[in-house]
Amino acid sequence: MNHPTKAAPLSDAELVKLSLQSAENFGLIIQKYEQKLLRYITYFTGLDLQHAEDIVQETFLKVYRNLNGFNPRLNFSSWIYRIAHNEALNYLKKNKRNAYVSLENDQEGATSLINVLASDENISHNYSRQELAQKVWKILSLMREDYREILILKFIEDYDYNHISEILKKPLGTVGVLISRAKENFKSYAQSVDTERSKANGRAEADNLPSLFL
Amino acid sequence: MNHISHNILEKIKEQGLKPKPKWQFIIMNILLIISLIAGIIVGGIAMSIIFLKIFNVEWDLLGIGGHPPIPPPLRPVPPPAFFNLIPFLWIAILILTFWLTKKVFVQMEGGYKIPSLYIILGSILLSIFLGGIIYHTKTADALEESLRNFVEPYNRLEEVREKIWDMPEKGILPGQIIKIHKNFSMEMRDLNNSFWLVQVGSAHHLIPLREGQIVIVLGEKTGDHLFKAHEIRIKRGFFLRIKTMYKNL
Repeated sequence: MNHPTKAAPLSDAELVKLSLQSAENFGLIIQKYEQKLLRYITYFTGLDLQHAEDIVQETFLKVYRNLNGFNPRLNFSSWIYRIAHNEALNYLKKNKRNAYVSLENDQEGATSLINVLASDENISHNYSRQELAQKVWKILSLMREDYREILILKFIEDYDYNHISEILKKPLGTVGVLISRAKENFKSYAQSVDTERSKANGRAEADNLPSLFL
Repeated sequence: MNHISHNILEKIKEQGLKPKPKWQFIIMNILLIISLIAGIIVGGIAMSIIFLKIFNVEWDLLGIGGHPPIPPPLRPVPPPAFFNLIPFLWIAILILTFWLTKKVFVQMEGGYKIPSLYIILGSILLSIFLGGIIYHTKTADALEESLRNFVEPYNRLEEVREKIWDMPEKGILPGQIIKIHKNFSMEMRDLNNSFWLVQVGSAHHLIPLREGQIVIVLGEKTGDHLFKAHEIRIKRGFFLRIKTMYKNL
């Protein structure tokens, strides 16, 4: 097996070359991307860890079989995310699953989107960090798949427009429009979640009113 | 190595998976390019036949545009006749090629970077350009004739369109010139394969008449299979089947 030296980190193109020489070397690509892809798939699909892992596995097998089809002029990470995106969509289509697993305790992943919420003046700021994280995941679970995915790529995976354009195979302009619409959609859901909470609080307060009002 | 890496590498070993060879991807790319070129060519052909069918309709006989014909335009235009004149089949084929071209283009390297609207606009312009060349070189006529000869259902469909003009009672006689006599008359065969004796007299016609020409005669029916011409128009792209029919006589 050709073990690359640890001193100089290998580029993706070099890793692809090594993987083509020996399947063992493909482990380096898996190690580099598995956590990122697992996070992306979990956030995007809302599936539990076991199912998300199945998709990630299928993604890597597909990547391996198509290694010769990778164009070194393009970005490897966009290419692998593109394959993961397709695998996730295929899985959702086949299994028609809508159940979004609650990720409400994942504050770290939600940080950038919490900032999107925090920047909106129309949204109540009477939330703790933990509550905001819960709110972010709740909103994401309610959103359309394409909006949810683009927000995850932009704000959680922290990809730039070019990368997102390569992953989703959409023109840059369309990516910009989609992000902007997704943000609007995200904020409007946030407001309705706020309204729901106020109503619930109102009902709770009314339930506690003294009997003289009855 | 965690369990995902381990599972994947195990699966690769167990199933003896290998990366697909490079030539498969090269062939796929070539197929994409061929599909794109084929889509553009089919789009051009469809556009040229649409031109052939739209530009050669006697719209003025239906009272739409053009100089006033002799006899006066047919009014009211029967709606089924009007709809039959629109080449829906070719329009549908054209739209399908635009859609396919867009699909193929997006699959090509960097193709997704171009907005769909631009790809479709580009396809439309390209098919107009290509269709214009095919139409002006009369290749469209030859293509239409071949289709009429070899695809019977298509021929039947087109015959319905042609029959719209077969109205000798209303002063319109389409057909092929069989023989020109010296006494300013000619023999014609109509779309139903019947003979007519047409008095040409001083009827208006832009180019000299000759035997074998496909024409549309405007005038009046004067008796049983007798017709008096006021105007004779040379037809293009509308009665091609007759040409073939008489080739076999």
